[in-house]
Order: sequence, then C-alpha cells, then structure tokens
Amino acid sequence: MKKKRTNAAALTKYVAICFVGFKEFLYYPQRLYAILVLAPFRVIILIYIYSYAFSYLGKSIHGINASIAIWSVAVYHLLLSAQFRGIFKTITDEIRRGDLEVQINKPYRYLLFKFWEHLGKSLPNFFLCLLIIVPVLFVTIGIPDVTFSASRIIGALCLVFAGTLVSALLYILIALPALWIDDAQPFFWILDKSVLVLGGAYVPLALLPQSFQAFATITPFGAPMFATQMFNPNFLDKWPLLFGVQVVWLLIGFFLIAGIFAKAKANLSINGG
Amino acid sequence: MIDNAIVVENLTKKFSFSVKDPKKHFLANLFSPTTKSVTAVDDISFVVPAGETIAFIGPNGAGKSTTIKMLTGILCPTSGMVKVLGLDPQGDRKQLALNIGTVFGQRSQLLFNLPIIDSFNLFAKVYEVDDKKYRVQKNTLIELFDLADILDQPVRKLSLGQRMRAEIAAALLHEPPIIFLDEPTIGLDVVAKRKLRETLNSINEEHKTTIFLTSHDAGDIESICTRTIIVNHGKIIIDLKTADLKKQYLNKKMITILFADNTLLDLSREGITIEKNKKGEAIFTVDTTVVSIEDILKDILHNRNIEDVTIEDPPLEEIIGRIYEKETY
Repeated sequence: MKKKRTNAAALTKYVAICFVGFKEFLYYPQRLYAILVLAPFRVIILIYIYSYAFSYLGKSIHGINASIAIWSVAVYHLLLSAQFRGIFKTITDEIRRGDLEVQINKPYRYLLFKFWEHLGKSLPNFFLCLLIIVPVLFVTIGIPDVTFSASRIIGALCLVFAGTLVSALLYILIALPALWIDDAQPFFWILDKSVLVLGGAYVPLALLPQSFQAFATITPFGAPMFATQMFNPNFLDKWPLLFGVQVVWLLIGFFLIAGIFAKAKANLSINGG
Repeated sequence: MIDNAIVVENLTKKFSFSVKDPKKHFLANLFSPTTKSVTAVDDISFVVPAGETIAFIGPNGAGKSTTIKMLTGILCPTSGMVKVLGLDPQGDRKQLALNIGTVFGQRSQLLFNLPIIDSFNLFAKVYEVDDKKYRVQKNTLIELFDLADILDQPVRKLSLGQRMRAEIAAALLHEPPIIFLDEPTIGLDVVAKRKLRETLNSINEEHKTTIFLTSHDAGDIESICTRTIIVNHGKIIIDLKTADLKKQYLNKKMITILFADNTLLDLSREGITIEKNKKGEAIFTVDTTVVSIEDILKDILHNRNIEDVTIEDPPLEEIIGRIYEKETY
C-alpha cells in the first residue's frame, strides 16, 4: 500500500495541476487572440476618457493627474486578468452537476486543486496583458510622474500578490453556499460589482470621497485591488497598512473557507447518493 | 497483505433536508424549516476479501451509490464502521484515495478540454506514481484498453465508449489494489461492454485487484462478479455467490421443442406458460415449483417425432428483476 504523502510530493502535484491550467489556456488560442485585440483597445479608451476629463477638470485632483489616473485604472484591468473570478463558476458548476464527487475522493485538497488550476490559467493571461498594456501606456502617455524607489516596487509587488490571494479566497468563499442553496449567483454579482466600484475600475480610489476610500480600505471588496494605488503620492506611507488589511482578510477568509467546507463535506449529499 | 479489502459493520446513512411547509409563513420556512429525514443505507454489514469481484446491486434508490460513496470517502456515514484496505475512508481520506481507483459512469474524472494523455500525466503526479513505473503502466493500459488512436484527442470529442475506456484506464494508472465501479457500462454498446468486461476480468486475474461494482446490467454481474449483494430500501436482502443466485432463485425453465412433423401440442396444464405454440414448434416456460421438468418431458416426448429440444435458464436479469419485485411489493 502507498504511504502518506510527503510535502515535496504534494507540491509536485500542485505544480502539475497548475501546468494543466496553463496548458488548457494555451490549447484554445482564441482566448489569446481576444486578449491581443481587447487589451490595447481597452487602454486606448481609458486614455481618451481620462485625457478628456482632466482637460476640463484641471491638471491635478487630490495630487492625481491624468497620467496617474490612467495608469491606476490600467493597473486595475491588469490585476483583473490575474483575478480568480472564474473559480466561482467552476466550483458552483461542479457542485450543481454533482461532479464534485469525483474530485473529493482524489488524493488532493479539492479547493487547493481549483486554486492551482486557476492560477495556471490566470498567470499567462496576466503576463500577456502586462506585455501589451504596459508598452502601450509607455508609448502613449509615458512613465507616471512618481519616483520608482525599491520601497514602492516592493510595496506594489506585496499588494499584487496578497490582493490576488484575497481575490481567490473571496470568490471561493462565495461559491461555497452552492453546497446548500440552488443558486449562489447573487453572491457573485454582489462581490463582483463591489470589487469593480471599490477596487477602482472606473475611477481611481484617490478621486473618490474620503468616506468611500475608508470603506474600500476596511472592507474586503477593495483589498484585491489595493495595488492600483501604487502611483498615488502617499503610497509609500500607506502600503504597509493596506498590506496589513489584506493579510487580515486572508486569515479571516482562510479560516472561514476551511470551516465552511469541512461542515459542507460532513453534510454532503449528492444526486443518486 | 490485507485479507479483507472491505469491512463494513452496521453502516447507516441518513439524509436530512428541509421541506417547505405551505402552511408556514415565508420567514418561518426560512428560519425554522421543517426537516425530513431519509434513511438511504440502513444498518448493513458485509466483508469483501481481497481479490474478490463483487456486484453491489439494487433497484433505483436502494442505497448502492450511497454505500459506494461512503466506502470511497465521499459521503460521511451517519453511524457504523467502514474500513477499506484497513483505512477509515473519512479519517484517512487522502491515504485511502492514493490506494483506490474509482469510476463513476455518469461523471468524468478526465480533463474535459484536454487530450486523454494530459489526464494520464496529471493522474501520475496526483497519485505519486514513479516515472519509470508510470511509463510501463501507461503503455500496458493503452494497449489493454485500445487507446493508442485516441490518446491525443480532447476528452470532450470522445464517444461514450471511448471515454469509459479512458476513465477506467485512468483509474488503474496507479495500480490500486481495489477499484470501485459505479455503473461503468452505462450507455455502452454490446461490443464495448464485452470488451470492458473482458479487460476487467483480466485485471482481476493478473493483479488480484478487488472489483466492487454497481450496475443495472445483469451481463456485467454475470461476466465479472463471483459474488452478488442485492440491496433494497437500504438493507441487504441477498448476499450470495453469483452462480448460486441462479440456482437458489431459479424456479423457471424455458423449453423449446422442434418436431420433425406438424405436431401441435396441448399445453393447457398448471405450471406452464406458453410463449409460442404452433404446428411443429412449441416454446413454453415451466414453473418447477408446480410441475417437474421430468414429468413434462416424459409426457410430451412420449411417442412423438422430435427434431430438437432446448432447456434454458431464464436470464439473470429476469431473476434479479423478480427479486426486486418481490422485495418492493
């Protein structure tokens, strides 16, 4: 009989799962073509709208000029490409169809499997968008008017990394009610739209009223997109706080998911048994 | 080496679910719903020795799938004890998963959008199969299940028969000592079924793999399983060797007689059901609890010009059907 797994073996299998997600992304090149067309299109629209708005509103609002605003919203769209929105649909579909049963009797953790699988799909998506969006912005509006110190870069990378994990936990968390109720889609809409508004999809967070900014900082809805603030003038002072908030939401999310999933597994019933 | 692959003692599974009470207010239904409980598996016990091929069958809703899911660690029992390969499916879920193979006929475990070979490669990693061993086992299974031509095809483009072959091969990649098959031949044509049954038999013979099968197809049971457990309403109603099942529950024989001339038999007697009776040919069923085969043949064959006589057992399917009916009504 096979013995219990080692940590190295566990890591190998999750890397293999990640690679499967990556392969699936590459297997359907239509997605690549769509990204190649849509990403620059999206950036050009952003540039047009913000240049137009700032030409009327003045050079700078709360220390944010047109260039920083455009870069911030572009970073939002870049981060969106690495988000785990798709994991909600995958999990809820598998629960609804009953396919969950063939997954939870495998020698891996179901939710970790889904996380790594989606990571494999979202990473190439993210890097492809990065390769398209950043050069387009460099060429069209130039480098944002901030100092690129090591502290700013480290802070931004920490917020991107933790924000991606927060996004994964949030979308997994709202998928789990599907184990009890028929349709968990309303939870997705609430979360998705909240992240959209409080993450800075339309307007950089720094341009929102103070009360909105505070709400976006303390609730989990803004946390996946904190890295959009990397070009703000006060970013160097603020990023440790934002990172701390992300870590708190990561811990809360992790324990909530572990508890809910354990309870769900104990009460699991699947069609035909 | 473990003597018993599966040990089940007093296993029970109850499902509780809330039902809407039309007399109650919406909020009352939401916050204090009426709950209903259904006993899917009711205090069953059995032991499966290692290397045995066992059919676990029953009518729809009998509790067979629930049992198989408790044995594989998917569902948590309400009470009772389960040991599979000496492991507790709930407490040792991951270690058990490394040592069992599962195939659920109505669900796929393969990567739907990718070629079969990608599923195999992933399973090798997931089940921690040594690279060298994997190469050998993969080639053996590809040959055994005739997968060479479809290995590079995405799973979603496979026919049902091809997919089932790939599913079972994937479940055997890590050479599990026990394999659970939940309706593996569902929707397959006659040729695909026969091939699958032959392959499963050869795996059982060569590797002494324990096969735990649920199926509605009597052909699967007859050709693969040496022992049959029949469940109904969550309880075991029969646990016998498959061969004995026929002997014990067989009280009918089908007789076909061809006459060399235009003889027309008079078959109007108790214990005989006429299937076909015309000049020169008679087909009828004899209930052996009412009249013996010997008496019937003596009577019919006496002074008649017979060309051929065939005495057949009714198919296993009919016997199982009769057992289900007897238990249900």
